[in-house]
Amino acid sequence: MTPANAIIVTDLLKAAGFNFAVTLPATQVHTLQTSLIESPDFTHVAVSNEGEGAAICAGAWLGGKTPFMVIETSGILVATYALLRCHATFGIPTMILSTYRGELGEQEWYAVHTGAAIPGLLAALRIPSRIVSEVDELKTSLIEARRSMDTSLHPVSIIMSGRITKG
Amino acid sequence: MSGQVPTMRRYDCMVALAPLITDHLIVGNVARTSFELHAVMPREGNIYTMGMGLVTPLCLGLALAQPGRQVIAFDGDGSMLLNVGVLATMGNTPAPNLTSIVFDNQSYASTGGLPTASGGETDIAGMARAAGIGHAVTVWTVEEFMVAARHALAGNGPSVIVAKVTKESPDVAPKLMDGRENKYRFVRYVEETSGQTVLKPSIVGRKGAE
Repeated sequence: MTPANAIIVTDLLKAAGFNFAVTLPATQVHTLQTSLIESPDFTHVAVSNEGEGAAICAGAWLGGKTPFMVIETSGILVATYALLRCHATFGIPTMILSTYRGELGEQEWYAVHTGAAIPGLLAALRIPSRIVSEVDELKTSLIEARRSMDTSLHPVSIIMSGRITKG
Repeated sequence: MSGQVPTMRRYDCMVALAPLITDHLIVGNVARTSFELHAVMPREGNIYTMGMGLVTPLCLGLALAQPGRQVIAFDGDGSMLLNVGVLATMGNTPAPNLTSIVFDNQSYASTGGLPTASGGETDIAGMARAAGIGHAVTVWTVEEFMVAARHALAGNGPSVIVAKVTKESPDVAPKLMDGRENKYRFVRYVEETSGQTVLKPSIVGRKGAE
């Protein structure tokens, strides 16, 4: 993600009401993660495992925060246990803002199968998900994601296409 | 392996700790840890039966969201070892109000009793110290446990207290409440005691709704 877009997305997250960020570094969104770390508007936790990160987000929500994770595509796989055993079981929302490695046009062989599995995995987890391809679409999507968190008490997912995250 | 055999019961640690508990937020590990928590101190500020590996991470999020009060994880050795990377996160995240009590019976007691790594060569408190957690101790008696707990709950966290306990568990009944009811009651407790609004189920009619 370009540094300029990282700042735009940071501002959109704040405007949508999010205030608690969990990150695990990922190639295409490290500029966004850096922007979140530097922003005074978010409580930030750097984790070493996305499942741990999902559980931290759950605790933050129970304590009154509006949490989200910025993670790479395969991080959703790692977070699956926490998302089911904690969020789904207790009814706790979190927003997952991820990259979309393995989408059409992927240039790295190792990312192809993870990306192909993600939409089906999210459906199996009954996590509403939207693939967003332009930064301009993110404003509405982030507001709607936050609204769905409030009303469903279940995780939501926004997957950012390479059109947003590359560069 | 130290060769030392635990003689302290988890239940007795909880009984000793109970008089110190006021508006604390407590999260209990799955199985008998949560049964005992409910038996010793049934309170709205408890979450019961959290999944293995999720107890201490969830408490870290709670502690950061509620910095004005103490948050306690009633974790277990098997649970901590399942997601042990959280020690590194705790070691690098300022959370003075977080205490993780690892009731270490050195076994997967509720699923047949096979040993955990902490029943062998693995020292969980040593791992915590190496991860950067300043207050991480192993205790073998209730008296030692309470010294460590008082220090931790004075805001000297993040703390990890590894309480070496027996596999024994008194015959206490499980709570009759599922996770969703538990969540609602816990969140209402947080709202009432903090003045914050957590549950916002409807946009319609909300002041300032977009």
